Amino acid sequence: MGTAAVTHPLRALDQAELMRLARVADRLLSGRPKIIPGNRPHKLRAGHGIEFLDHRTFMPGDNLRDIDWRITARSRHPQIRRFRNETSSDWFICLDRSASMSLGNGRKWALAMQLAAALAYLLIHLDNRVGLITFSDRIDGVKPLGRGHHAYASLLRLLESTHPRTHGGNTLLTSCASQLQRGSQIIVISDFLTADSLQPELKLLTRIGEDLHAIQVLDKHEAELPQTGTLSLRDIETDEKISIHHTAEGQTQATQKLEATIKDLQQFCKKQQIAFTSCTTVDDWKSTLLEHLGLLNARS
Amino acid sequence: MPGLESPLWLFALLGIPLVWWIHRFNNRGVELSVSTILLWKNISQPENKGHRLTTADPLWRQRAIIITVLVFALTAPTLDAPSSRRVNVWFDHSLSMHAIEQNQMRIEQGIQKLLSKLESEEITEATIRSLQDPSRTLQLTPQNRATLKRWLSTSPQAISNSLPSPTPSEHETWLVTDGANNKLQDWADKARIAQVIQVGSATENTTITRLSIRPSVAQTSFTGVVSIANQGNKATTRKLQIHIEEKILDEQTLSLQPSETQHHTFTIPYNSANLISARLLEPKDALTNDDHLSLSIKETKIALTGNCGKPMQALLKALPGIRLSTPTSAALTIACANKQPSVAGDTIWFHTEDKTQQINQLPYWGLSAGQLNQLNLQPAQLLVHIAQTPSKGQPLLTADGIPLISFQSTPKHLMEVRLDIHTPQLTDHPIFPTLVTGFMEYALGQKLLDRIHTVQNPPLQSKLQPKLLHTDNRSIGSSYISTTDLTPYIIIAALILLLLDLLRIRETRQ
Repeated sequence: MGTAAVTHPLRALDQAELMRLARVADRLLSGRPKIIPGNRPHKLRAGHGIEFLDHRTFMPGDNLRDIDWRITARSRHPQIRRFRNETSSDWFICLDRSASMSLGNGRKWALAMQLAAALAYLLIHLDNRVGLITFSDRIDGVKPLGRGHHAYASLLRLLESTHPRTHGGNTLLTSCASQLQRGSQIIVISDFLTADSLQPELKLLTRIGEDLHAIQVLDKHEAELPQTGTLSLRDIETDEKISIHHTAEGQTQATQKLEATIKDLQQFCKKQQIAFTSCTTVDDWKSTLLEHLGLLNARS
Repeated sequence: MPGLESPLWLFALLGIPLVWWIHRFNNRGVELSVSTILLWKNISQPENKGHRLTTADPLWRQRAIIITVLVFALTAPTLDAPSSRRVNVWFDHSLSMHAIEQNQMRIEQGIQKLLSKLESEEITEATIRSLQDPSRTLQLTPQNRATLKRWLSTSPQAISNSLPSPTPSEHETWLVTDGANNKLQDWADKARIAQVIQVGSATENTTITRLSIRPSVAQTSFTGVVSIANQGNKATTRKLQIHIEEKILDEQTLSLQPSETQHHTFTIPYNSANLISARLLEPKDALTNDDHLSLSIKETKIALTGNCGKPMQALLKALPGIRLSTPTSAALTIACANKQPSVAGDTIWFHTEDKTQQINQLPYWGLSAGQLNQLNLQPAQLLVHIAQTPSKGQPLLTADGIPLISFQSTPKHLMEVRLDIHTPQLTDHPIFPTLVTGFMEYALGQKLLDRIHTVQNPPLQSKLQPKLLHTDNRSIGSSYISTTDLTPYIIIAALILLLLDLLRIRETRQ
């Protein structure tokens, strides 16, 4: 595993580790101990099924046949019935490959790739269909929904051939909307470093997907500059430049600003019921995934 | 006290705003790529408002300081600081400084005044320099002050009245003088004399300016002239005595008006004495060194050997300033013989062989004959002795292809004359004494015929009247201030600042 990590970030994904993590994920996501031997997934998701799960406010695009008219009459708002998904779910992993992901000596992009690959493995292992969309200000690559080892291998090949942009290209999450299927599960892996932290786009995706996951990948030194003094800063995506006289005080303010941005995004996601996890290049993919799965377990 | 030698360079500081402008509007250093510039936008640093800085790069201050320092280096800053006081003293010990007033020589008065001045101004070291001989210096310290008088005791007659080049010294310069020299004020101005120690007040002086003696062939006596000048401002009467050895030859009382010069002539019998002196007697004046002049007449000893004939003997006795002597003590030997005389000194050898020959052609002088070629000899006057041996040396006079006179300068002067000095055609001719005297002058290399003996006192040196000298007061304040050039230190400071700036740029680029 150590040798593989040197060659390519995806080689760091150890199969045994992924297998163990898959069992943990199965237990955490199911909410109860697994009673069936083997690796069959336990599906406790809203979707197509006969077992009632909960009600939800009607949104455009919902099937009219799912409207629970009695509850609608009581609440005076259209409500729909949701059922436990007794079949496998469809998951879309939206991976940001904008230029901002290339910074941090590639560690940021490596971690994002590892997270995407590990998540794909877990989900495929749980018998879900997984698709991959790489995007920046447009869709740069698509791996359609697929199931099984072949789909995982195909997804890995796409990841291996994908590199972050070197410059330009804003992060435009809505560009993925055309590829997403309504009712699917959506995982967005990005640094969310835009003026609005992609909040409007996330809000839009919540209407498309059944569940939305946001994993923020940041560089350890995201808000740090290597030196003080007079510097010219160039936004690697927008190419906008500013000149600053960088001091220790300015460094502190930038770090505080980044922390405030993360906190704001976190609060937004909590409000929108988006599972949100933020990690930096100091963290590894396993701890990040465990944190995110733990978050999901707590929610369920 | 700090000062600037080229303050106009300070106008270059007006370019400092250009440094600010360059740092305000030009490229702002290293460019870094970031994920988003939002993190550094609008943070609460005053200079980071907006997309561009509203103030200049703070490094402009450091660079402005470097430029300021370099500009100051161009102005050649100096720092004046008091230094140990050291004086150069020009000491005038000319003839007039030997005048005696109030039983004390002016030189002694000057020494006393100088030492007391040095003591009162607490100056321990001084360089005494002779005004008449600038190459002579004396480092005067409290230990060797007693030697100053002995150091200045030079014979007054040997002292020149000329002044040295007035080169201003970097140290304070004083002058000790009586001010009797008319040119001293101009010299003091150019030499930036800070203080003048002036001595002497006497003005009256009579001097013997010249004593000359000229031999007279016709009268077989010396004719002398003595010149006496009154250098004072008042008429005076002095007694003049002419001495031969210690015997008084002549004595006169002279009345002299101010600035008047009288010439008194006298006659001295030939061969009467060797030492003639002129003396001014009562009443004595302040400067007695110029009241006496002595003249020594040096006779030339000539030896005569062989049969040279009576005309030759009579000639040598008649010539003034010549004394016949023996060959061992003579400066020149005149030998008449038919073979070369064996004499140690210079010799004129007249041939006396029996066989003679008449000269047919006009003789001619050689180029090296000098003034002898002015003598016009006729062939009829000349008989030449036929010698067996050829002549030695360079021919001076030649006729019929025979060298009549030849001269050899080494190892001793030897003039070989083949002319017959017994023939009446030559000895009775008026050219004979001139010709023989010319031979002796040529062989001796000195004048014998018209020789004037003279000694004199320079008249200007005998002027005693002091003239009040004024000093260059500007020299006093600056003379013992040491000036330090600060330019190298400022350039070093600028280089250090530049080095720091370069290190900072290098660190930034890394």
